[in-house]
Amino acid sequence: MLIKVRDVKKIYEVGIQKIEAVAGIDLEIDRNEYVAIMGPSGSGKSTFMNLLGCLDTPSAGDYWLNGKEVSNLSDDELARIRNREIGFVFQTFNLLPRATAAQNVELPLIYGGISADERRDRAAEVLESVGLTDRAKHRPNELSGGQRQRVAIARAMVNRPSIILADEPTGNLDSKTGIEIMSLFDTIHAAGNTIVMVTHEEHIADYAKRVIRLLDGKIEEDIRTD
Amino acid sequence: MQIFQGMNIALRALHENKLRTFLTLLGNIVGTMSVIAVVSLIGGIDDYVKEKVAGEGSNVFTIERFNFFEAITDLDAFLEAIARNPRIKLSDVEYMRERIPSASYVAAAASSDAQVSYRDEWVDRISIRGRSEEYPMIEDAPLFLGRHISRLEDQKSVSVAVLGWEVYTRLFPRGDPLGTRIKIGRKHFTVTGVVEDLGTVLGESKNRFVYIPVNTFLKTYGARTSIEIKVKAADITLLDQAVDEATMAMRIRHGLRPMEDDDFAIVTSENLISLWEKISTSIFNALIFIVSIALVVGGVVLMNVMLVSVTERTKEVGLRKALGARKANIIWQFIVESVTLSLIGGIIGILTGFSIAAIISIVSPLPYVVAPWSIAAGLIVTFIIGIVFGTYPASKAANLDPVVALHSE
Repeated sequence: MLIKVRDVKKIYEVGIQKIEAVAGIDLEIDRNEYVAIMGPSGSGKSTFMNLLGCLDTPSAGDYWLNGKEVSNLSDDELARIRNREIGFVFQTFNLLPRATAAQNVELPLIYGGISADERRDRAAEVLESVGLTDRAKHRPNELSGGQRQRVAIARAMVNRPSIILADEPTGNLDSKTGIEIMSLFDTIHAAGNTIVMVTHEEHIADYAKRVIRLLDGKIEEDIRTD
Repeated sequence: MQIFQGMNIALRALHENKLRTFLTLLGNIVGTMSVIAVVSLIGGIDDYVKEKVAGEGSNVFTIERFNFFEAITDLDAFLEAIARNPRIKLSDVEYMRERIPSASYVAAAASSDAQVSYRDEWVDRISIRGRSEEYPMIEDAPLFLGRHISRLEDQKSVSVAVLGWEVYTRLFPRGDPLGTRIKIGRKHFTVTGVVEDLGTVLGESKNRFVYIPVNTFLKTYGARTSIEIKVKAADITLLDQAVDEATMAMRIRHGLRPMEDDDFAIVTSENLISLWEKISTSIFNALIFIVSIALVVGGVVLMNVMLVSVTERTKEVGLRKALGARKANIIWQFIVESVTLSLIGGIIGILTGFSIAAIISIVSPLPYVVAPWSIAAGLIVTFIIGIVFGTYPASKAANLDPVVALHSE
């Protein structure tokens, strides 16, 4: 089992009020699954995504990622896990504006302590796999939205992570470009990768092989569509 | 790799917002600039003083009623000396001549300022130097024309004068001055000689003087004027011995008991050098104080700009953390940036400091030297400022919550 979550909760204290953003979730995700997490705003899907991405730690419950208990790690240990196990794709791409596509893709490798030569080779390799070899030296402002998101996807894959976490990956793209990006995810999934995606758009969720719907911090529905 | 990346970010930020960067670095620039400029100039004067004061006539010392330099170094002692110390008289010189075996010459000297004129020409504020006949052996006074004052002229208080170069050239633009009668104040003097051009020291002409016999001087300016006794040791190695002999003789002459302080002053060129050292040390201390203020202000401004930079790049910090940057990575990134900025300020300060020193030494007579330690000090201090004032913004960035940082706008 790649991801195993047991009765995970995330509780925020606002003044004297306690808000359970994630109110006890049990979930298992296997290697090479393609999961969409859906839910209205306030359903806790973003908070849950942050927990899955090790950006945040749960208030209660356990989380095993790739066989390792990660719910009680220090900040630096979490940073290491994020670097090795997780590839993030964001709605707003989050590329460094002053760095080239290749430099953006190399960034996780820098924090992984990979040598400069290997970084260059691996960045070129993943840029090729997303079809951007000829854009490697371009800055984000010289790229279209779809190209930027493909750079971000290349950056998410460059460290060969266990899971790719995509947060509304087509939210800032027009529908045609959105379809291109989704078919790229299909290709990545077909190559054996595990994808977990947060979206509120049904037609985007349709690409996934399993749809999990959250409501009030709990799983309301968990359907396999393949 | 990360160092270069951080430096790159800093250099790019600098390039993209030159005015802001300049203002950020102003404190550092002013700080290092003043250190470098002042250190260069003081170093230059230092060399000059040591070479000139110690080089010429370093085996000559003076017995004086009081040491005017003490007014700078120890004002209380100086005021006490003014009240207590007796006048030095011409008879003291005669007494001393016999009692300093290590000296080759002992001479009387007294000075005043006066106007010197010849027909329609005149020069103001000329140093009138009353001297006994040994002065050419003690002072730097090579003859250009004529002869020096003789013993007989001194004994008989004859009104004769030996002119300094500036007096000569101003009063006698053409023609031979020897034997002509000039006026010092209202009194007539016959010119017997002219001293060669002696050049300048730190911009002051060394040629604005007239030598006259010391007895004539005392008759003209009052017998109650205190004089100085100039003593030339037979050899530089005998200087200390000569000073001891002179001190002993003066104490006996003044009837001082063993525990009493000297009621006269002995000024050696070593005194002058140590006085200069005291002055330059106090300039340095004042400088360090001023520069510290400039650098602290510079550091605070740098910190402020780094805090703005952290705020502007909160989202970037969040992204870097999401991609696996540890706290140390983020701290490192911002420290490299602030150190780079700070060092650039230091380097600009060093360059402008040397330029200012060079310009000053061109437009004024002050010399300057490039002291390598001042460059190193400038770089080290600005390096430390970069670290000290970059640490707080860097740790602020490193402690950002990645979730919050990622979702900031």
